[in-house]
Formats: sequence, C-alpha cells, structure tokens
Amino acid sequence: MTEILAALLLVLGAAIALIAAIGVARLPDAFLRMHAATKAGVVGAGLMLAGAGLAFGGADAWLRVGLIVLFLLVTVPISSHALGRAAYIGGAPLWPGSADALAGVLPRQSIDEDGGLPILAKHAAAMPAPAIEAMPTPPGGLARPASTGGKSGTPS
Amino acid sequence: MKRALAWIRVAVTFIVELGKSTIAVVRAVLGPTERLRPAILAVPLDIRSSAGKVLFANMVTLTPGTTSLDISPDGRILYVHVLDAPDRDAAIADMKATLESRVREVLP
Repeated sequence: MTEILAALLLVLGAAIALIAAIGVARLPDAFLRMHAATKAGVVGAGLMLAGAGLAFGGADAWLRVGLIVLFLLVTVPISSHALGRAAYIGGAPLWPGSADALAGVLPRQSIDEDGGLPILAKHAAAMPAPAIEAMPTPPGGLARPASTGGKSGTPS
Repeated sequence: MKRALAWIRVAVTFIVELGKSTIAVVRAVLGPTERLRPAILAVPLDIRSSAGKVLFANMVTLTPGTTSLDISPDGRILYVHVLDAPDRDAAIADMKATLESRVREVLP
C-alpha cells in the first residue's frame, strides 16, 4: 500500500515537472515562463520528495525531506523575484495585451521591436546573407535578413 | 496557542492556494496560450511589518500564477505579475482576501 502511494506521488511529481518544462518551451514571454519554471517546479519536487520519504520511510528520511522542502520554499521565491525584476529592468518584452502597472515605476531598458536581443541582431547583420539578394527585394527588404537572423538565434 | 492556530491557518491556506494555482498553471500550459491575459498589477498592502511583507511576497511568488516583481520604496504597493487576469480588480481582491488577510493575523 505504501509502495503504491509512493509510486503515485513520484509519478505525479514527475508529471508536474514535465508540464513545467513544456510550459517553459511554450509560454510566450519571460515572465510567463517563470511562472511555469519556478513554482510548478517546487510542487513537482515536493511531491517527488514526499514519495521518496514514503518509499524510504523512517524519521531519518522524513527529516531530510522536510529540510529540503523548507530550503526550497525559502530560496525559490527569492530567485524568482530577483529574476523577474531583472527581466523587467533588462527590458524583456511583455506578451502584448499585458497590463503594466510598473510602467514608469522601474527603469526599463528597451530592446529592438522584433524582440531580438540587440547583440544578436548586430551579429546577424555582420554575416553575409547571399540567398536574399537573388530574390526581388521589397522596399525595406534589406533590413529583414538581419532581423530574421537575430530571431533564429533567440529561443522562441 | 491562538498564534499557533493562526500559523496553521496560514499554512493550510497556502497549501490550498498552491494546489488550486498549480491546476491553473497546468491548464495555462496545456491550453491555448493566446487566451491568456497576463498583467502586472499594483497590489496595495495593508500589512505594515517588514516580516509580514516578506512572508506575503514569498507566498504570492510560490503560488503559481502570481510572481511578485517589485515593492514600492515606501513599502505600500507590491507589484505582482499575474499569469491570467481577465478581471484585474477581482485578481487583486482575491489575493488580498485569501493570502494577505491570513498573513495579517500572524504578522500585522
């Protein structure tokens, strides 16, 4: 009985960790991704630890599980808060349609409009793009290879 | 004794909120992302003690669906990023009613 419960907890925790990972890949902006990464991660890890505590049994195992969960609860929100604040100040783009009560409260760096990091766009512009020259270029078309190159360099 | 009970209530509220919002995040991740309405909200704080603010900000961050981003220099407004807030005022009221009122019982 204990084994079945422990196995269930382990599988559930692993499933939540998997969903958190999918969230990091799927969600559209840095702040949304953080929701999935940091906190569903805590729940997933907590459930897996509880499963491990059940499987091993004994006060020794539970003490360790309790301490690990305690440290997770204390440290994760701080790193998440620091990352979120840094992302905001660094100018990480917000998903269009987000309300922004922080506008004007915190200084915010600007990133070029298509969301690529400036340094990547510069890097792409320095590279030759021969395929584009063969095509009839629409007005403003020359600016495109740089931006698409910059985009491909950033995880989307 | 009364204080211990209040702390237990904080813990229970926290675990319930954690469960509810984990489900919300799972749905947000697996559902269509276009329908999400994220927002950065300004939550006015009624907590006055620093320890209470830290506890509240950490609990807000730990419950998936909300992340505290910044606190105003005078410590009266907490800026929170919300995963999905179709109704902003309701989201703020909800945070204040569940988490903040419990925290105020232990750390005013």
